Amino acid sequence: MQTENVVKQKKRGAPNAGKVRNTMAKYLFFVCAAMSVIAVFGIIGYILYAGIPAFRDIGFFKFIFGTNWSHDAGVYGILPMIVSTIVVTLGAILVGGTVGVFTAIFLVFWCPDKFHLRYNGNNKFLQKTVACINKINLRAVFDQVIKLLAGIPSVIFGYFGIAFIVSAFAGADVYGIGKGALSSALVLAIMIIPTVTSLSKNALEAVPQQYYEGALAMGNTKAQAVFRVVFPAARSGVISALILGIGRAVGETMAVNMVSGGRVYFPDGLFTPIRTLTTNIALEFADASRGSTLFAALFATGFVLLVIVLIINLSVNLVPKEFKGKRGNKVLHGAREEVVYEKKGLIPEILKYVAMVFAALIVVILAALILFILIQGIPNLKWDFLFGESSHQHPSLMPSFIATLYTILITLAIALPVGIGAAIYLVEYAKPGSKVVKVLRTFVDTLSGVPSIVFGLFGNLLFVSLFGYSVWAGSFTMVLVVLPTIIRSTEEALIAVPVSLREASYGLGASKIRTIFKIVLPSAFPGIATATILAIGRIIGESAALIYTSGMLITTAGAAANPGNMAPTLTVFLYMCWAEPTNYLGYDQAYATAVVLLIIAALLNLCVYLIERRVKKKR
Amino acid sequence: MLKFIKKKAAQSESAEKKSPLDIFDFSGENAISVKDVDLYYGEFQALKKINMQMPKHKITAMIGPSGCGKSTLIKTLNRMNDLVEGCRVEGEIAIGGVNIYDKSVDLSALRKNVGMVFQKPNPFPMSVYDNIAYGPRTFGIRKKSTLDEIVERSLKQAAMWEELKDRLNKSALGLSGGQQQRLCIARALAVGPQILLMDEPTSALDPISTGKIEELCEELKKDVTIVMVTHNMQQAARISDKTAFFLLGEMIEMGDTEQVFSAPKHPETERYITGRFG
Amino acid sequence: MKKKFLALGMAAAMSVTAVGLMAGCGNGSDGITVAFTRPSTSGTYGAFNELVVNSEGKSIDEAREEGLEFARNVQTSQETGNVIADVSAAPNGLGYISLGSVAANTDKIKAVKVNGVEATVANIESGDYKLSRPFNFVYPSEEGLSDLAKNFISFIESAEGQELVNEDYIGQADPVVDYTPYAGTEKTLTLTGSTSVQPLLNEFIIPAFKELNPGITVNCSGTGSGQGETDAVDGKNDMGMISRALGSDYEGRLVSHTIALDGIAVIVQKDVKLSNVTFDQLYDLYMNGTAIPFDAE
Repeated sequence: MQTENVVKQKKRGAPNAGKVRNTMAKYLFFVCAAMSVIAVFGIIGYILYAGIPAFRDIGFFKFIFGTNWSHDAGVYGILPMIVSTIVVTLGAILVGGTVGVFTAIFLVFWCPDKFHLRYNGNNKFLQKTVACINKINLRAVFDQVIKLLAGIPSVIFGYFGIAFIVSAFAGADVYGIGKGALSSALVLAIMIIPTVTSLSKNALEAVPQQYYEGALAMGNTKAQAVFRVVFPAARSGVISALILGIGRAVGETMAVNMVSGGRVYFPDGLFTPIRTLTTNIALEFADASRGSTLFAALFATGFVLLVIVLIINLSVNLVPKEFKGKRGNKVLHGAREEVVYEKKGLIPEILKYVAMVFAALIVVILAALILFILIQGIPNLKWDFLFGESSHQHPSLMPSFIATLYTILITLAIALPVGIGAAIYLVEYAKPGSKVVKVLRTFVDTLSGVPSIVFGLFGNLLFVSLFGYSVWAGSFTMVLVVLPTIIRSTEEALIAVPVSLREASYGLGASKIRTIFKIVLPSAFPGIATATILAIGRIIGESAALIYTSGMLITTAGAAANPGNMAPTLTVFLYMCWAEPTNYLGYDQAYATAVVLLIIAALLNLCVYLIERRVKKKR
Repeated sequence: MLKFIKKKAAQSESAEKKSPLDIFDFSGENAISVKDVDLYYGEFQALKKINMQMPKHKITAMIGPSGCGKSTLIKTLNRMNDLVEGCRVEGEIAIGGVNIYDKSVDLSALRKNVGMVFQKPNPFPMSVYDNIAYGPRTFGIRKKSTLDEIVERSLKQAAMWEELKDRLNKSALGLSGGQQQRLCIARALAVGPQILLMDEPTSALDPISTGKIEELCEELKKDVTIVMVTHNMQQAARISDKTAFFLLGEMIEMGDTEQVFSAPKHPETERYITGRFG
Repeated sequence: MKKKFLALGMAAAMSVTAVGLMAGCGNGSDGITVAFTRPSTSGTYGAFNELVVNSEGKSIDEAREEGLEFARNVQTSQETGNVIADVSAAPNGLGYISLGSVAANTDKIKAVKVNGVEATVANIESGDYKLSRPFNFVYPSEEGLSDLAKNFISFIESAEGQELVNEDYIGQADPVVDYTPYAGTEKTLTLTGSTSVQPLLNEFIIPAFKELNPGITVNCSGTGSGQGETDAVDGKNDMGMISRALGSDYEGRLVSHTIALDGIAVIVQKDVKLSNVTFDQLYDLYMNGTAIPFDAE
């Protein structure tokens, strides 16, 4: 608030020289912001527009509450899918949310910083090893691993789900398959744990230390202080984390598709094959010609999904940021009774052990996941597969490396200037607290919650029509996917730049535009860089938005070198190994690709870590 | 835990409804006695051979320049220093006749009896009522009427019942800084401590709020022993009964406040009090 | 209440997982109880449903159009490869794929006889094996077809192309044409649609075509016949690939050109004792959930 007021005052006093340039810059930034608005409105508007015929032809009630979906019979009802989506998401948040939150509590309060191994023998090597192990910062390692998992493409979780969860349940399923509601929920649970843990951890760490000390000073045990004061104080942050987890679960497509069974049933049993709203779009979209009822019905499905996401997003705002009283305002005249204080705190103590057990469980699952990928993948990680000439008989990752690189470059080339420009307009130019800004923010937030398969639908309609199936079409679609994140993170980075810096610049007579480019942007650079890296991670991990835009196929490096051709990114390639296996393309190639993706995710994490460390050091 | 319950059962039969947490005997003249205490943060020695007695139902003020060890000492009295990594205490601190660094001493029992008020007011993000009832609840008081009574009594003790009785269900974070600090005092009182440690309780407050807290301290010393760290020498002079002066980890002198301020025995004390350094 | 139940279920399931992981999982059923189908975008799906007719003369497709649902034991596998993966993982499972995709996967699955007739190219050609359908290219009009696309078709219908097609499929060129490599300026040919047609093109036709036309890129991709038709209508490809007859929605909007005839093989896991299924059994398995015992003849 204050920032902007000061900025406004200074604007009036800005020197006349270079006024034209300043005005032009202002309009340029405004155009960026406007483009973002158009993108958001365009998507939401078009999806609604394309979906309306479904509501009209099928009937709103029949569509939403219809219990059967059969393209053969021309019947389109999505109730089973809505219910499946909700049940699977609830199951995921119940398991993944609980485990994630407790793991965060363990990480913040009980995770030892270091190993305390002791070795008294004389073996020098062992002594050194033990000393080395003792030097590892356990908490930081755990933290980084969780972050790493948050960046792993969801398709990898799908593979993990098939290999462990589905096959483990096969015995329990009457049909011996093991796919269905339970498997979907568990895969989603594992997938949201990193998100929930990492955000809950931030929320817990943001609770002022003085609450904790205050509780201890009253005679609380550590467990009591943590569970009765600190955790409730972090509540709104934890709830936001859970809601984001829900958003991720609702929007997930590909991993669920791999383990759900794909039938349109109510989830009335643990192993009932189900179809969620997102997977319905993925499964049926290929068959939908423009103007058909199916086409409209799928867009209407997308719209319902959008509404669900919007409700989830809005409910974040409903979470009270501060405590609101709940105890009745009764006049108190309690009888003076003998008060006997006792030592209590069994429940927090139990919860403490629950946190420890869950954290251990996470360690086991995560270790299993990573080891599983490495063990299966590394033997298949051959030079020829990575960089060899690609053909149908010898698929290699080379075209995918090129396609991924192109997608990143093209996407960022568009999304970064537009996103940063929009953020500059919002922070530096727009009237603070104006309705336009508020509406824009709400829409940007909504856009960031839109499941990527919906972007895929939109991209197929617009960009594939414009550019044909190509890396261009995929990249433009990805612009829409990453734009909200870039805008929001840049905004936050800009707001974090102290007002005093701007004042100092204006005080020296610098123009607004000069201040922005020479003072504000460089100060916000680490934040923007981090946002860019996260956007790169998102681009690399995306699959649902790309299969209907840049295509699933095996191509050659030569063809991939032209972004006008179709080419799969690494994650799409990984998905393709499962979805369209041939004799030359299957699980072996999939796990090798997964290893590559894991390494890339780790490198990106390292970048973020280094940037953060540099910023900390500077301060 | 089990051991504890057994112990409690045994006690409740013998003594008439005595809380199992009241393990201290405050019948003696001094509430706290510190004997030859050395304290180290890793290699650094923060306190050197401290010896002092803090008399019951009196206000003991600890003064001295920043970094002299007074805050460190007050935190050893309820073992909040345990939170600091690498902190080591040698010597004996006896509260109510019990060496609190003895292994058998239960931390909860210690801190129930030795309450603490911090430099910065730190009410929990809960309602006023829940803040006060927090302590009793964690010590097993569940009955609504009992809790009501404790809340009322504690707020009255802290002289803010009239101000707050209509806002008990409002967030404590909405109170002013001075109110928050008095609420923290009331919260500490709610578990019935014998000693109240105050670590610069008014340094974040305006003069009016400071005055109210000082008045409150005078009032409270009927019930509890108060140990206070302060930077404000006038405050020490105004309200304390005993004053101890610290410098570089050592206690330079301690005596009746009047004597320390009017006729300090030690030249360093005089220089500090007259404002020539610090 | 439901949530609680769910939680209990989850807990139970978790322990089942643990036990399952330790014990390994066996499945002691002695018949086909599960069937895998494809999404409605699939040409193989359309053809299979149309061709499987029970003794009352009703096809699966007709039953579906009446609004009948598949039985509970039917699961959807997205692509041809998924059917292979799913069937090879389930000893009690049965599915259907393009006959052309069987040969390459005989280490995992096998094709069973249908109505006592073995699924071979010869039996399809003679008409004895009933589960067969055409592979078509679809496009809005002959006139609109690009020269490169025409050249591609003429390669398939050349002597060399037909030899490649006939390895696993039945060529439909009549008469065989002479082929001259493409000399125009176009650089890419985009084909989208059926995953059943893709193996024919990717494994046989495209490599040979590229050898003769080194500068050309052929993008051959897709998720199902439906996509081939929609993209052709929308102009998103040069030609659509479909593995069935042109859908009735598209008559008049698209023309089709048959490039080969393909069988649909009914597949089970390699070691399963089942050797023959009848249309009745297939219909009942898919629509009524009736198991097919392994000793059935």
